[in-house]
Amino acid sequence: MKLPVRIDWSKFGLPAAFFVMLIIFTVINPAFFSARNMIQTTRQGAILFLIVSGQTFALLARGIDLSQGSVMSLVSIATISSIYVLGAYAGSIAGILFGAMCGFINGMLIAFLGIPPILATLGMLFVVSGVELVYTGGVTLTNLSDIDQGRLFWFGGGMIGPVPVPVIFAIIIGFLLYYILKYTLFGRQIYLIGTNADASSLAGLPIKRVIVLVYTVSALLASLGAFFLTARLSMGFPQLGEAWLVLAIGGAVLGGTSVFGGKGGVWEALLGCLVIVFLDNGLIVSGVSTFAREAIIGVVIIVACLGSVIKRRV
Amino acid sequence: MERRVKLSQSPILSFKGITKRFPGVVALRGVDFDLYEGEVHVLVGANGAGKSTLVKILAGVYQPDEGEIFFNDKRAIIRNAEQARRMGISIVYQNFNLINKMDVGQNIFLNREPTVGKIVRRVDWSRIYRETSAILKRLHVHIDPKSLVGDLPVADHQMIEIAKALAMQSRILVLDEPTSSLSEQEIEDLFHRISSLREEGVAVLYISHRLEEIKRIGDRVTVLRDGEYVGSESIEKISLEKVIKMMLGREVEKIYPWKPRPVGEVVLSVEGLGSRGAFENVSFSLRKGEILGISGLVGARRTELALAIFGALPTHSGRLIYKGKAARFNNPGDAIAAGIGLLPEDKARYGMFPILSVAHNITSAGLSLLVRRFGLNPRLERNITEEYVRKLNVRTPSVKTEIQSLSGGNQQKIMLAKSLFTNSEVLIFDEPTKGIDVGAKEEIYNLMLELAGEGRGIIMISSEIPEVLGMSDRILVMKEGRITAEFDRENATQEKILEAAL
Repeated sequence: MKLPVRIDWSKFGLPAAFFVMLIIFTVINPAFFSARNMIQTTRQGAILFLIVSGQTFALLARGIDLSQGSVMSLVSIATISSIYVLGAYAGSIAGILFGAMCGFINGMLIAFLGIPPILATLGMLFVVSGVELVYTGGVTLTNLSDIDQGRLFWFGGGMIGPVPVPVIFAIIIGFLLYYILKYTLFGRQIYLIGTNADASSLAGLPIKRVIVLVYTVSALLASLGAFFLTARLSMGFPQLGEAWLVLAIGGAVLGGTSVFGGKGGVWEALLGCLVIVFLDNGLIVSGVSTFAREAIIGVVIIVACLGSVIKRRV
Repeated sequence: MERRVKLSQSPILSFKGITKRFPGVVALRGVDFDLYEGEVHVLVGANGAGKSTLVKILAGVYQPDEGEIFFNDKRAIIRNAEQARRMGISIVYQNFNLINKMDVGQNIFLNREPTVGKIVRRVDWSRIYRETSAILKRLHVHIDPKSLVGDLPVADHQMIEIAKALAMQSRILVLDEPTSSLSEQEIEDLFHRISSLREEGVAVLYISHRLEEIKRIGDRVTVLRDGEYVGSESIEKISLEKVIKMMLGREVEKIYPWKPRPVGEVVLSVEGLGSRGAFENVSFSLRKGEILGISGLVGARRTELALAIFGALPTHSGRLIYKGKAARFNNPGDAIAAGIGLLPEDKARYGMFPILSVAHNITSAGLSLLVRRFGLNPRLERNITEEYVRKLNVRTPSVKTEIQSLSGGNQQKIMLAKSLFTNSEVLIFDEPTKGIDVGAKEEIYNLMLELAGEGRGIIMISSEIPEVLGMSDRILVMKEGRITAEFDRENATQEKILEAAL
């Protein structure tokens, strides 16, 4: 028997707020809407989108990945170090795989040893940043050959027509992730496991395999973000990832991915990171100080979390 | 007979023309209803009839849109839970609100702890335990006030909830489905307690799906249907058939639509199965097209047996023969792939994905069936799940609706669809009609017969003896992890089953 379908208006709230925000910043300072500023901001946005998408995988599975930031720093160092030996292309791939491996270990700790995600990834955060600081002594890695530097820089700072290269990659990866979440067994299993692990177990789902993959994907996407950042800087920066973890979790939740698992996705990740990068940029253009900016973004994230909690209760 | 209410007195509580609307639906429409001191008033109605809305108005959770409430002949407005409590209304909800890590006394006096001392106010523990003992004694319950709630059986939780209500000096006690987690003996005890409360002049509003309880405990019955008040009758003057007719709005020939049907070869044999700490040496066989009922009291380990067959609980002895071959299911995935389906008893915990759609719930155990060249095929998923929704008559806006927004009976039908979706040849239904109304029950019984008619073997675990008697071809009785009796349909009686179960 059919009952009437109700439209969920709450879905349109954030996109509407986003456009209102764009208009307000443009009125305050028309330079905000200039082509130059938009291109710069989407470049940042593309990188944040990758990291937020990774975090989204962990959150969907009712977990969290706190090691993303330090894995990013590690990838920056590992990429440059590998390029010294392997050249720009193979070196970059090695660096990214190094990061993904940290995620694989996270997944094994969580799935097979039963360590809660928040603790396993917190431990990984310290291990990775410790190892990386011992290795570099906190010193930035530079001195790439001109050929390698040129090749590497293109990934982070290059343009294809009017579009920054990381944006192109982010769009392709975004579609791929959307496909994975919506049309693959793995994707569906993440939602099921994140919603009810006990019921998933009785439904015969391969919970351990899915969890390992989820944290591998989370770290892989953070590593890709780190790679584009490193490419733009063309150097290995030991503190590269520090600021990004909070933005990753904040962006995911802001977009509507639930911290209670099973709800959210790529669209929410995109929405969340667009709001964060344009809010941040708009505040800069409007002349707001760095500290005040951080505070404002923090408040926005907390309010968004509150929204997620209230929705869950109703 | 003298215990029956003297209706000459005026009611302690009356609802006059109460209407409550929610967006798009009228939950209650002009409901009149009286409650007297010293009566047990049974409120019945199918799922969605408005019972819980009525209780929530009584609890001060909802405000009626129209109509008036009279308390002791005076117009009253119940603004919130606190005010309901001050008026002496106590509600024992279906899902208990007890804290497992606290003891009985702490639970009963939670948030109302008496204190001593003027400057530093200390909790008066000795008074808490003294009064708890007194209340438990009054209920004839033998529980140590200092034992942890989590260590006590579920049946005791029910009594503690009632004790909590009594500690508040309640004049009106609302019991929402109090027997759904109790065994036959415990229900008997509970009814004794309710009777003595009635003698003390407490007005009891008793909400139940179990019709056979109406005659055992009630003085009067009120029937709601689709938010409408159908009528109130004295229990002595009304037959159960009449009550069912009032609930459904039509005649029901029989509650159990069992019909004889051909039964095929053995599809599953369990030989000497044992699981440490749960059950020992369990042997039985199931034939194609057969409905095998498993009866027993709470704690007979029937659910554990089901889980062990399904590969979700390790076994240490015995074996399974499935379709003529020795089979070993190391996990539920193996069992599902082989063609075994399980409808778990605790659907909220082990069955449902509450925030996911009806479609995603139905397909959750058999996702690989939806894989086509480009991965999961959403159109296929929609078509198949819509077919199930139609076939099982599930009331839902669409297959995209979140399952948590549907009623219990409809959720249960979706859980059934989930176990069918994997093309199961053996279906294990653990308490398939627990907590759902007569209409939905009837539909589930008919469906079980249809499935058996298609040649599937069905194991039905049920604590309701009439249901086991009414629906099974053969009946096993379990007690403390062992099978204590087996009956053919013709030879089974309520007395024989109880004797084997006790």
